[in-house]
Amino acid sequence: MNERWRDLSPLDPERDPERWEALMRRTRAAAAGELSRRAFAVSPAAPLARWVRPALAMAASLAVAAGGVLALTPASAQTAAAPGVAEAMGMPYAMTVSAEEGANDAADRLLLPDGVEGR
Amino acid sequence: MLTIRAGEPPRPAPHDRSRRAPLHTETDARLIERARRGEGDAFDALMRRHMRAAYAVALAQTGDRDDAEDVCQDAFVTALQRLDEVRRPEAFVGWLLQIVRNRAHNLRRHQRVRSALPLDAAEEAPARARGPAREAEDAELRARLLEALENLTPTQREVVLLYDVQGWSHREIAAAVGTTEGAARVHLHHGRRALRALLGPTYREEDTP
Repeated sequence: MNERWRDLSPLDPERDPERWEALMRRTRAAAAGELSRRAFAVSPAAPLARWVRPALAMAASLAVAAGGVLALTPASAQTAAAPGVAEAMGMPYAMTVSAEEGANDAADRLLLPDGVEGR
Repeated sequence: MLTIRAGEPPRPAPHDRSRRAPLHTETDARLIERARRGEGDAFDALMRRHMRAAYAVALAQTGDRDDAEDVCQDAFVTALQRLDEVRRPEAFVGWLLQIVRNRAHNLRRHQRVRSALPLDAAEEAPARARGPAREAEDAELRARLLEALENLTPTQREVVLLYDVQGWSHREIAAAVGTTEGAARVHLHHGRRALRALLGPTYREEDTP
């Protein structure tokens, strides 16, 4: 046995400061995730975050339900209910028909009432 | 006699035997409160204040430096995760050391299972960088000390290491180990006597107050 040894000091962890500090660093790094979680839990964003997930879930449920309703609705009902764009804008029927058919009618024809031939 | 109470910032021991963590002005209670809010500097202060004691207990339980360090790291992270369970912040260190014992127990049980496996199934422990000459000498001394400590009971090992390495008072040791001051003195006495018998005259027994 080494005669310089007189007590339990060889077991003192700080005899090797680098190793001791490495242990501190490792422990700190291992705790970083939990510290972040705790810091976030007390931040102002936490209540918002608690609502985000349920709100998104509810929105997704509503979207699925709406899609289901649309899928089950008869196609004829959808067609009848849907107004044309031109009609919605208040365009005269003659212009609407002309536009939808792609006809290149003269302006005077469009301006005359139905059934009256232009010159 | 050291006048510190558990949970208060440590003050230097009159006999200057202690190798304590750096002084910190905040109590354990305050540090725990801040660590619960995720304040890293508070956790850091708790770690620096109590890591030596945790290491002493971990070493007493595992008998191996690498294992003791792993246990300490694991125990501090577990303590942080369960910090909301601390009802008596003034008894934090006792609570922490119980976590250390539990983790050490789990590690030993895991190692027993691993030791039953074929050699090629066990991973080799990573080698750590060490200074060659001093590390070799220290390693020899440590090996002999740890071998001798193995002959003590776990409680005797804890008491001897907390007293002789960590520099705690009997009162602090009694609170941490969960016994009385008188019983802590008896454990220290028996532990030292066993070490003296095992190590011979090179083991210098300090004056037991």
